[in-house]
Amino acid sequence: MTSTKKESFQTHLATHWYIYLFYALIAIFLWTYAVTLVTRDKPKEVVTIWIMTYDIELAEFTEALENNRPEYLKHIRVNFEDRTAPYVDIKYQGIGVDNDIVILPESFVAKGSAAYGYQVLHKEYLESIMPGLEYYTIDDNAYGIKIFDKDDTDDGLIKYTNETDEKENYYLFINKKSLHMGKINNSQYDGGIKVLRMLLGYEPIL
Amino acid sequence: MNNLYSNNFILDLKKKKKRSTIIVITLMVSATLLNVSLLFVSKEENRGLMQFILSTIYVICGWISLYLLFTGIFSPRKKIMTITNILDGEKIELDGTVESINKPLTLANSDRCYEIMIMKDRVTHKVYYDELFGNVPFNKGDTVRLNVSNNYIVGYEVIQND
Repeated sequence: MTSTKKESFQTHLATHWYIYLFYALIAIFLWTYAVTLVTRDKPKEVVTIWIMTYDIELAEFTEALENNRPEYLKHIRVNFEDRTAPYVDIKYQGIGVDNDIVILPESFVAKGSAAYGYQVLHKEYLESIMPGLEYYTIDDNAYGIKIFDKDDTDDGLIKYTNETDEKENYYLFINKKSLHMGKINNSQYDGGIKVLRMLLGYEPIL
Repeated sequence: MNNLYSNNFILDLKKKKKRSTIIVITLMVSATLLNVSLLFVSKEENRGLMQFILSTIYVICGWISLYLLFTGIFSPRKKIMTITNILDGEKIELDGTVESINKPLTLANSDRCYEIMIMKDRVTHKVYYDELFGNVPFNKGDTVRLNVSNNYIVGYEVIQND
């Protein structure tokens, strides 16, 4: 590049740099978004679980579920939310409710009308595949399945208790729109039932 | 009298504009096709790498295209308009002594020109010599006869060297 051309190039950059910067930002944003869109998990390939408790061994728990996942699933995604964290209600409303399976403390469900948003459960069918379940019921309709009893000992990968708060029951709810719950909500796939069995201790995960 | 501007300049600029347009279109279409092809072989495992590669390809090709757009398309278009105005404008003959030749400056229409002061009958006239033609072919103190249109020197003759 001759000195005149170099000078002209530098002048051009000095006066138009913001256009180049703006273009780069737009290009990066668009292609990043496009790749994310193409490579993201399809809803039919992933079961999502939202857990609102005190603590969890998330990596170990997720790995255990993933190792035993139904073949057609690419992933089982576990989303944990500390129930003592600020704005947990907002996070639940924004993200939590859309998961296939949601685990909530009884007090959280009872204070609002959260349970009504979930699938009403057919006890007979559930009893046939997982006998001895207890339910969260409203007006004789079962909405949730008890996953932790306040009288149980808390020694699993999910921590349902802490040292300060009173112990309470936890229930598992199923999204009405889940694609993976088979006969539970008449959906196309039934891999979620295996996940349910693992969560409720009917199938070993470790 | 040495004439500076000619219609060939306009033809050259039109050729440059056309060439730049073809390069810009080819570059962006190729980048888009390449990126779309790569997009469909992207996997969850290589998501980060693909985001980086695709963004980089598009940013680099886009920057080259933007540079060509400004310098190879917009700039020649402006230049063609300026030269057309100069060639169509009224030409004035100006005899005088070169009082000063300043460094090239950028005019409002983005032209880079030397600003030259010519003294004639104790009146100073400001005229421009386009940097496109290289260095000014006369020096301070020379007596020159200039053909001027729209304040641009379109022809010159050195009558007497200093």
